[in-house]
Amino acid sequence: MTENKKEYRDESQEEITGANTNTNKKTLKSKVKFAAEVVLMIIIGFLTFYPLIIFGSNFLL
Amino acid sequence: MSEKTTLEFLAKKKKIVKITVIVIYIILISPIAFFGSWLVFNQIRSPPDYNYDPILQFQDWTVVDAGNNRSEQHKSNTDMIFYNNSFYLIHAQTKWHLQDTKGSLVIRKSRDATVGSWKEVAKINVPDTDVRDPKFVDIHGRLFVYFLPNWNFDPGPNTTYYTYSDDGFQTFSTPKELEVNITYTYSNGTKEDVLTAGWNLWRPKTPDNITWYVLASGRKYGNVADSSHDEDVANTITVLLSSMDGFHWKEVSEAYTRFGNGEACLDFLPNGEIISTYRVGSMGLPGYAFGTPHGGTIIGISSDNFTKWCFSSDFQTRLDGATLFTLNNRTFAVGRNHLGPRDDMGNHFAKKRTAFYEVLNDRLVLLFDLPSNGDTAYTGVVVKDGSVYACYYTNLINHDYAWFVGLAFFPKTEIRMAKVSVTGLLAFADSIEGGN
Repeated sequence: MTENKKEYRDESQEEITGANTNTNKKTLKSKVKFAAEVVLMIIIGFLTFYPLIIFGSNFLL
Repeated sequence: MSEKTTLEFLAKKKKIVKITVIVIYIILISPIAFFGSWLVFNQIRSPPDYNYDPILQFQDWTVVDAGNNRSEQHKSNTDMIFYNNSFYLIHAQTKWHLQDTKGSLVIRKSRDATVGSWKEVAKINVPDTDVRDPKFVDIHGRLFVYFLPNWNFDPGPNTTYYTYSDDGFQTFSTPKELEVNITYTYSNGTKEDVLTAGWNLWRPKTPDNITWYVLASGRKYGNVADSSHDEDVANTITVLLSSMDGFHWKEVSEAYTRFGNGEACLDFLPNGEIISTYRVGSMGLPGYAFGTPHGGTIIGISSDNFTKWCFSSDFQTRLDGATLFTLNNRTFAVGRNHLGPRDDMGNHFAKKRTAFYEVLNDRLVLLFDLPSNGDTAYTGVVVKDGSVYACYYTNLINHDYAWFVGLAFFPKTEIRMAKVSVTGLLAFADSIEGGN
């Protein structure tokens, strides 16, 4: 295990930089995806609770 | 447990959770969210422009606004008479269209029916009971109010209560259930008059100020509806009743019996016989929430002194909450326009309007819609000094709600008055083929 780690650390600096760029892209993509999911959840949540709240508030009058 | 097994277990668990969430979304959340987006659409949909031929001299205004008290925001089910030099209007006042046991019937008075002139003069309640569909009638100076109590969350009234005032709507008797004399004909040919409740009276009228007639819907032979919902008056029949005092009503004849019906309104023809309209939920395949192509209006004409009847069907609307009135020996109606003909007549999710019609012997002729949307119609009419005054209720007219939206989700409604010239209405009806 320790040997393997050492091997990874011995990779060229160029390869490491390329990997970092890919990781950054992936991170950005996942952040956007997460934000989109949150917005979608808010919209769906609103549309789900809107009729329930309106009907419920009249029912409870 | 090995690390691999644990990972497999967690992956499996994650998959189950994911599938469960998807199933819940598909079955429960997405239909509600879709309905929510439809509500939003109803909120932003603009009403149509209402334009009227100048010949009608059309005017309309608000008589009673929805107000700020949400417990009384739904004003509905109107009727109106002219009595002792004043207009009297009655309407139901509730939180919404559905059952409201704290609801009441409100009577308002005005000298000239103009904006701001209406003053509340009386309120009628039945403890812990939803009350609706009030009808006025002046019988020998005694003012009766007939109305329908409702004990179902989704309203399906199946009996009539009445109260009366001997002092011009100042005080009222305690409301009582009305029992009427119905003729039962048995298979061996014998007949029996049975005093029974369970009949919904609509609007009594008289041709001579001696005898009053009313069409009432219900079930014969003890088949009185119970507390279960009435499925849009399925299997009800309508009979013609007469009375000379407003207390004692007796069957004259069976009017429309073929398909379940109700809200039957009558007026008198020049020959003294009756012309009538019946709201029929379905003349064939059943259908309620999503409508049916077989919903419509029956037009009934009596003969032989109200004892025989012939009928025509009209599928362009189901004339809910109608009032019939006569001008120059021609019959007109103000009632609900379902914007048909359509294959889903009565669809809860469709738009409806209040409209003027001419009622011919074999069909209705749509004249024009009144500014209205959502939950609307249930009209009252007074003809006075060359003008027709028609009161009705509607969701606020800056919207264009579907009926279902206006009855329970955004149930603010107001009472409005439309006024047209009698000569203008006759000329307008002539101009669009309503003329005889």
